[in-house]
Amino acid sequence: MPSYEFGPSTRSRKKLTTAVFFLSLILLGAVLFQTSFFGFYKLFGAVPDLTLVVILCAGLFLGDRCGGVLGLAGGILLGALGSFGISLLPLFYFLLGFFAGSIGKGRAESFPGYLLFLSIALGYRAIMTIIYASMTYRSVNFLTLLWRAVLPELLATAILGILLFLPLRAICRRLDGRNVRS
Amino acid sequence: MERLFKNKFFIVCLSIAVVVCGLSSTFALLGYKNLARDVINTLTLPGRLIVSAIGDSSRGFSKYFRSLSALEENNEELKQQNEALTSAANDAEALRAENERLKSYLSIKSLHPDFTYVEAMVVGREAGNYQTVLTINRGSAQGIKEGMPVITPDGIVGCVTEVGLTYAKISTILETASSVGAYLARSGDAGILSGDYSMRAEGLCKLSYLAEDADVEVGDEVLSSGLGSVYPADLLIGKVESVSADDYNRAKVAKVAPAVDFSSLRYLLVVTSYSLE
Repeated sequence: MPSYEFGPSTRSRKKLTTAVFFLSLILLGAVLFQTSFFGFYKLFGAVPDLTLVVILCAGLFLGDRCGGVLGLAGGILLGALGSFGISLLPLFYFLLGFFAGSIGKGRAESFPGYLLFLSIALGYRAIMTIIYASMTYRSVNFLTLLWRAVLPELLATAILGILLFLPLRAICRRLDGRNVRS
Repeated sequence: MERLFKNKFFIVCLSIAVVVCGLSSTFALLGYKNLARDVINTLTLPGRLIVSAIGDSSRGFSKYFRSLSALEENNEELKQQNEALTSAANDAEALRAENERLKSYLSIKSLHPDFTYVEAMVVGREAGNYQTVLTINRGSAQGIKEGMPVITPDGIVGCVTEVGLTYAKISTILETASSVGAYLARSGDAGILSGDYSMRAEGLCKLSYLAEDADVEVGDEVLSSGLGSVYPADLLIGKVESVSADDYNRAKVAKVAPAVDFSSLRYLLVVTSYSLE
């Protein structure tokens, strides 16, 4: 008797479940570390945006769908656990994850390519920080904000992004079912 | 662009993101409690405690290694100091007794018998870099309510600005939105203590509305006056770091260094009730 398969095969479904499980764990860990651990260990006096690095890597190495979903979940989680409420974060991180995947997938496998996308993401993050600070404070000195909040945050996130490039790429490749070494 | 808006996945996720952002912002503006925030905070509390404990223990671990090389250098110096220290031991004993006495003066319970409080641990700090907000592991289940003052034996920390079932957010006195009625212990001159964005990075806040002829000097202790009905009176806030005239030379403004060290704050007390007299 012939057998029919509806939807994704058992193997690909299992792969998808595993990927979603591990990515959720990584994302949760990133958010928890960002909101708790880095409160004690600030880099250059700022909390690095670890969630941004994870979402960016998910988008770049696993594609727009993965990046988008992870961005949406990351934004909600970070907003709920952070000090400023959910507000615009889900939209911000969703767009980051989705466009990282749709524009950058396949172009960021090498370190220079990744650096380019990390720089763009950091610029995007800087704009978001300025918007949030403007919403929080009625009168903000732009230079003070840039010097005291934006630049330290970007520098801290950049360092973490560079350090996590290889491990996150390896994890994403494994989750994607690729064993390519470059 | 046209292709993007034909992408069903993008449209669905974008719609979800916009709805979530819209709803949460609307709830926040209307002052409603965000249930999702409460649920996520409650569910992740064990994880946050673990990560917080990792941070705490690794701080001690790295401190140990950092101090190892310094210990070697200090060893020789300490040998020489040993003799001098032995002779100073008697004086130290006297100082220890004095220290104990001072500690008892500072003891909150003996100074403020009317206070009832809940001890809490800091499990999270600001996720953004332009706010000084702490998250503690106590919430409405433990009787915490919005507006309750938060203190340590060193002085005032801030007040509760958001309460969930098992967590609460504390806005410190460094926040620009905070204001505390305060007076100078030595001269009795009163003013309003508030956070200031440009001073926040240095861990300082601003004591303004001091009279033009106010008697204020560097090192003066600043205490809460009890005005504003959030903070109890006579709690230590900090010490005056510098004094200057305001922009119009009509009043004095003092920079105040809080008595509480926010960077190493781990345990604090939420004052759940106190007598107004």
